[in-house]
Amino acid sequence: MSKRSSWAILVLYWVLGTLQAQEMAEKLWDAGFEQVHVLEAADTVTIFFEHRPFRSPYHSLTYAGLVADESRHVVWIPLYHNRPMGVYEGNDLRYRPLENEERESFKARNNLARGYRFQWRIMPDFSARFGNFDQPFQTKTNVILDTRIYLLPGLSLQSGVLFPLENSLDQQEMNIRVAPTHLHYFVELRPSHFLSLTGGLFHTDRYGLDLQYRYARLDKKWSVGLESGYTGYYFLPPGSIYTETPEDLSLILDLEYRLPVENLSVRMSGGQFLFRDYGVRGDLIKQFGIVEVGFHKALTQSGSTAGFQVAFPLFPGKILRGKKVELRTTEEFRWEYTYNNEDVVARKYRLGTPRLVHQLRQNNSLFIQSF
Amino acid sequence: MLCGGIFMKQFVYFVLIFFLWVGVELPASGQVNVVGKPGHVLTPSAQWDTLRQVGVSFGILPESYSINNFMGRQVGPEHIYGVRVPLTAFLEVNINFTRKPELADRIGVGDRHIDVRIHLLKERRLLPSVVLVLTPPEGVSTYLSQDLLVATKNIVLGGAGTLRISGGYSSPYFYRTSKTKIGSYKTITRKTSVGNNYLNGFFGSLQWQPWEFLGVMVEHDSQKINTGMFLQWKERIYIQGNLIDNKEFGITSSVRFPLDFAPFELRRYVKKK
Repeated sequence: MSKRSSWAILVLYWVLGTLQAQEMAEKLWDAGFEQVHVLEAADTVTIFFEHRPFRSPYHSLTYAGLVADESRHVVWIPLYHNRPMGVYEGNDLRYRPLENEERESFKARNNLARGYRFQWRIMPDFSARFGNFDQPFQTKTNVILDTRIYLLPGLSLQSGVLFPLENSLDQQEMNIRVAPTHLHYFVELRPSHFLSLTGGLFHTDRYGLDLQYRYARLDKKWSVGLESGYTGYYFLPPGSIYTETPEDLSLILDLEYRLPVENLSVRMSGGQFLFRDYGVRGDLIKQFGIVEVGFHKALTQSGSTAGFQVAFPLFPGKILRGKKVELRTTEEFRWEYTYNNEDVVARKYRLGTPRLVHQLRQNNSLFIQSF
Repeated sequence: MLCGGIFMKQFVYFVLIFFLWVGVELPASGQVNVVGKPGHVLTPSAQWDTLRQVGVSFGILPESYSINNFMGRQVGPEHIYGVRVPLTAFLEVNINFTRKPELADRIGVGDRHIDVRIHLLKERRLLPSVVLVLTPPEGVSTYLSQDLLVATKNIVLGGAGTLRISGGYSSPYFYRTSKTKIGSYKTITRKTSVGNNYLNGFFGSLQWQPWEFLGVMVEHDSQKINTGMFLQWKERIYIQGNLIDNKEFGITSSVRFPLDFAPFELRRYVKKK
């Protein structure tokens, strides 16, 4: 074979490969995946993707596998908040941490402007207090329509509109208002050292700054973390904003251990909770696929309490999906019930963005491999 | 009793649907007692849900036989909501909320209760299934407390259906916390001393399920004899009418569903393929 024709064949292979990669990226994009980058080598394909409609990366990986329908060895690199979270290889989704080369390769391809859809998310916002004598069920229900826009690698803005449905819980008026709006920065400082910084308006009438740090190796059972916040009270009456100076500092250290069976995790946390309440809290968390159920017990200066929490995605998920816009229900609705309705014991505020500990529990490869 | 009225209508509707339903093959295991535990009318059984699904239940007890009857004062029927969550292959957590509709303006939501159910022994060819129920010493009003040991054996009668025999013992004492103006105190109290007659000693039951969709039962709940009849659909939805003390009518209903499902979009995609 002449030198020229062998070159031609190489070029042809390259063109065909690129076309194939492009086709796969498009298939994944159409199925709701974002920031899709397909890298082809001789016998392996590396695929980066972010998938916001599903709560658990396990289901995203399964879905991606079905859509891509690839016979070669696939190296999956799922992203979370625009950051690669780990490498899951082959049919059995074997985990390994990212190599520097892969990080660099993602950095070079990361495209914030064109890599994401404009996703609108419908999410209920429900608070309740049980056991008041005059009115046993005091509830406040709102519906939030919000979106997240990526501004810089790892940095995003979440904002939306809140529509009140009913309120028998407090004095707040039924005005349509801005939904919890905040800037969120997520980064893996060094391998397995995750940091999440959030600033703005949160749920539970708190605003301010929130810092979460967690050392979690995604193939290990132990993880340790810190949750800290500097917040104040706010509410939004019609046409204005009422804020009190932030003066509430919370600082909670925690240790989580994943039991070797049943996707059960035990978490012990302690420190200063919201409203300067010193104490400890123990959690037992069970992960069922996309649903998470937890039981807790807390002892603080203010008293003691026990309760449970559930987190699940809302049906049906995707409602409308176009090339550039998507409307869906939330991938995570979390609700916590606490037994003690008299004293304020071991309270935390809800950010509106899932907490680091809950997300990393989903990303843990022992969980992903348990299916 | 407005709620009860609507419920009766739903009940009749369900009965009609169930009688139109034919043919389910698996043996029933999602049936629960009035507090949402696998069981009969008021008594629990040692039946274990091997599919490990989450159960939600709603039961009504007539006034004179309600569990928290406020020391014999007549305060209307009792509604009991229950949730059952399987945590491991041998451990379940049960949560209850009670409500006295006629007393709601005074007490709001009634007693809230949590207990754990531990599977000590699996049912074998000759051995029964054995379950231990323990209530953590916690809470303000602990009338639903139950600390008990129960055994259940299923006997397949071939063409004549299944016979389920259960028996057990429940502690007549409970851990009581009371809040008074002077302060709160914690004691171990005899259930009868506060007018609580729920599971107070030995209990036993006999249940016969001639067809998949229907079962009848009779039990001694340590105080009195109760009978009941249930109808079920695909082991998912249960509706049961009870005669408490063979005098007054009560209802138990429950649904059961798995929690380890995949997201809807993924399920639909798999189905299409």
